[in-house]
Amino acid sequence: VRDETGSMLPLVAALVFVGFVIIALGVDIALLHRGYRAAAIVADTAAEAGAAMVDVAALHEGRLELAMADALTRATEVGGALAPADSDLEVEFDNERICVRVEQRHTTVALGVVGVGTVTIDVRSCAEPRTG
Amino acid sequence: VKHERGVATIEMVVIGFAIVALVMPVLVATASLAEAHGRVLTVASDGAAWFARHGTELPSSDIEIEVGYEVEAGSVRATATITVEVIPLIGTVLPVVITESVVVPISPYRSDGA
Repeated sequence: VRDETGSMLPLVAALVFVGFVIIALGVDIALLHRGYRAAAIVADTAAEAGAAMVDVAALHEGRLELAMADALTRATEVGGALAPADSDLEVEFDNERICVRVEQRHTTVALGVVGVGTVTIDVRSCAEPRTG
Repeated sequence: VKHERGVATIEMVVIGFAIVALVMPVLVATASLAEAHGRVLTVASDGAAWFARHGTELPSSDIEIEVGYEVEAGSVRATATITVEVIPLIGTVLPVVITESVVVPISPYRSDGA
């Protein structure tokens, strides 16, 4: 009979590693999801704040348009105030709507062990003025 | 040796079960915390956006979540809190308080109710 002492050790080590990776994946996905939601709230809030800046003169003539400079300033101000320091904010607009893009680098907690150190969160939200 | 046939399989099954028994509670706890965070953040965000537009508190849609509002320098801060019970290990219950705050600037065109 061969000596089988220690033959289960590699298997146990492999199973423990797989268990650790599953937990790390679960925790990091949850944190990533939270990061996406937070970024989406920043983008939504900034876009809505920008879309609230309507051109009053045009409105008196019956046209609902964005006051472009004010909308850009307002969206940038609000987005800049709410977004985390390590994120990039981009504001685009045309006559009808304003869009805010938030890009943020999320550092993983445990997945760095398996080579996934950072994940980029990229969220874009648009808003346009409406009556009612 | 004949009578040792299958021992390794049994060992693998037992160890596999032990790993699952350790991993599953952590995953379930993580999922319930993530879900609770999502609910709280949504309630805080909706409440803050409503208050910023209308100047009144949004009627509560989730009785488990407490929401407080604070107006500060042209912005409204909505803070939502929930207590969830997570089961980090089988047989134990750990209450965790989750709080999220969302700040939204008050709309210049809001229907002023506050």
